[in-house]
Amino acid sequence: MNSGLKENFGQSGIRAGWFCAYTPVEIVEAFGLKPERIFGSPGPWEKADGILYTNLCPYVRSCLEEGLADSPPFVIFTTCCDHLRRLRDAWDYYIKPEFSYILDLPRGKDESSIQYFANSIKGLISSLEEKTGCELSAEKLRTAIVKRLEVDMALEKACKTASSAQEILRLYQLAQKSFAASELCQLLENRETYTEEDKRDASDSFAHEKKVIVSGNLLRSEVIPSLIEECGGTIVHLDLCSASRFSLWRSDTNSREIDSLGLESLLHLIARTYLSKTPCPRMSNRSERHELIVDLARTHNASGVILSPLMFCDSFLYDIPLLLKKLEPLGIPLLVLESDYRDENVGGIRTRVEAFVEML
Amino acid sequence: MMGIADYLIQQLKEISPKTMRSSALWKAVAAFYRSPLNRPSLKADKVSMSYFIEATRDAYISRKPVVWANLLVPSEIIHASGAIPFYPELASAVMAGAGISVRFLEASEENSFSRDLCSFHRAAIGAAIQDFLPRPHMMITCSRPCEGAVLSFSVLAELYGVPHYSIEVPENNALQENIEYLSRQIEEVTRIIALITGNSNLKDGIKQAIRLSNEARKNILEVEETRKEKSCPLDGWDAIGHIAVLASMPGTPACVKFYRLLAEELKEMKNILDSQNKDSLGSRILWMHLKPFYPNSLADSLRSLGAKIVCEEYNRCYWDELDTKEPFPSLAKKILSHPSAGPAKNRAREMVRLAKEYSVDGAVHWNHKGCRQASGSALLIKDELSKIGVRTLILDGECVDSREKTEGQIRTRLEAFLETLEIK
Repeated sequence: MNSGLKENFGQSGIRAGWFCAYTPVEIVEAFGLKPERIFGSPGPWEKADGILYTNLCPYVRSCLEEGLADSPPFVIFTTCCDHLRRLRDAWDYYIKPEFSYILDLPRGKDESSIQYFANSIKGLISSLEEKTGCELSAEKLRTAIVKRLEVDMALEKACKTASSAQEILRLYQLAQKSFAASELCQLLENRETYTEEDKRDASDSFAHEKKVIVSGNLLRSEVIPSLIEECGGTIVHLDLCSASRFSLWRSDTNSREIDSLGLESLLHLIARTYLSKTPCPRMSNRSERHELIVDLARTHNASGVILSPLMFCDSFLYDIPLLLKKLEPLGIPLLVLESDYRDENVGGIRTRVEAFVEML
Repeated sequence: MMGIADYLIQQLKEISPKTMRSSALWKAVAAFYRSPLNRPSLKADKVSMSYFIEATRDAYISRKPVVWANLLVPSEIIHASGAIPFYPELASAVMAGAGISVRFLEASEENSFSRDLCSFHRAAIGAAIQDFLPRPHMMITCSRPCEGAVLSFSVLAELYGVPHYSIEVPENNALQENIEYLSRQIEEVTRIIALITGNSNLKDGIKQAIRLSNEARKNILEVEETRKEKSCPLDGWDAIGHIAVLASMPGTPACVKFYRLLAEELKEMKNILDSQNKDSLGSRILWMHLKPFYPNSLADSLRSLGAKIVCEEYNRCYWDELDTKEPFPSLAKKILSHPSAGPAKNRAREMVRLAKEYSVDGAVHWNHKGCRQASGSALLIKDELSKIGVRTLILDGECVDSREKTEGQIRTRLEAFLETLEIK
């Protein structure tokens, strides 16, 4: 790290970019960095396409395009997929950020995986300590966890009262871009409040709606959610890593328990919490995800599932046949709507969504 | 009129899973192996062929428990435990070579597996759906070189209702704790295989497998030394197929014998050429990633354009000698030392080293359509090779799915590339 950056560290709120929802942003926050999820450039991604292969995930290519134009000084990756591993390689080689780290992400949630992930997080901490000259204390980490808890709570509240899926998506994006609970809470207070009747639960007013669950990884734009709603569908849950799967801490998290934990135990808690959240299809507990989708469909009385993964996402592409097998006998129809992360082909998407919603 | 080759291909295309499990078929295969019709260009190939025929027959007939594994799962642990290793990715290459992979690719597509997925894994899934492959008792994957293997094997495990163990390979290969973590996983998986096979003498089995693996390694190194010489006649296009030996045979006496014979044969052939003052002329090529395994004319194109593959990325010894006293940490290091196990800079460094050692004039990176891990770092490697004056051609293509072949275009690009190379 250059000496100027090291001296100013702690007061400058240096940007630290992250990509995967398994990145423990609490650690980044505890170092006084400003964690910011990179959502990528809107496109075209000419430079990135020249570096990465066009059969790589469009999210990864869009991020590289953004990074080539304006990279945060710190970037943190995970080993969640080959696409992200190659993004890290390209970022290091062609952008050369001040600091880059890749966290090993285990697939399971057994004790050995938790311990391994905790060790992997320790590796990140050591590298950050070395780079910044700051030492991580239990107190700083506790403060960061509480902040994250507040963000999660604010988002939970927002989801319950939001007017549309697009609004939920916007709020989640804001939370991931700024990770500032106070900003988020302020926004929630300022926005139009809705009455009890408007709440998006399974109340009588929605009994005849065509409710759908949207699952996938990241939806950059609001094109797909808006089209679903325009076509007469009502999105009752956004199972995305940029939406509900970003949420981590449960409202019943005991903050007193957190107060009593030392650094080692806090790291173990973080590792366990991340590995225990609703899994992405890359993780080994895939069937748990399928069960959850079925449960969500039943709880919200949804009549269909729209799976909208990013193109070339192997984790989802392997999941499609298995999810189909799970949903078919239950009579829950599934529409697969691959996203190129730009979703400019509105006409094509509309035709497919219309047909699906009509069929529900 | 249909020729005998066409007739055999037609028969293969229609072969049923039941036939694959019949003793009569394997007797016929063994008879062919012994017949004068079987004349491989290298004596060593007869050894590998014999091994594969026997192991595949035993796997189909279920003579021993069958363990499915992907490329970087150390075969030593499977041989040591007394099970038969079966590598579906290699099977896909064989099916492509026999011209029957499209049948299985279509079967996977009919079952909603996307054509964007790697065709090595899709073909294996399609073949499994049609019950065409030897039935597994368990599956093991290494999370490197690619995630696709872990994901596809998890689908296959569900299909067969067998357990799947994923050996998670850490990205950072230098940390001691990562070596230990990997080592513990390998040891645990080995014990599970031994439980399935009922092998009560695992300790000796491992010792023996490691010893044989080390012996084979010495012979591989000898082969590699000979291949660095300009007069070595081995054509890398054919040698890419030796990846099957390298992945699945270490830990067996057959592997030692294969590489010993290959080393001897190559030396002998080289000496003859040396005595006649004959060097191999034309451009020396480093070939990265794999090649199209379905019938194609690219090898002929390369030869007719005067180019020769002298080194193949995946077909070499990349690991240090294993320690019989510390078998599992040794095998962990073996996995971690594979250039595709960590960041792309490791792979690039290794390609630069190979380009120098084998005095290559140019390099070709075969961008297999569904392979994210290799294709995603092709440009970075090209840029690193260009720093030492080695030009690289990146060719987009397919290894297994012959429906995607674009030979004319590839030949034109190869031609233009080879013309620009300066022979050193």
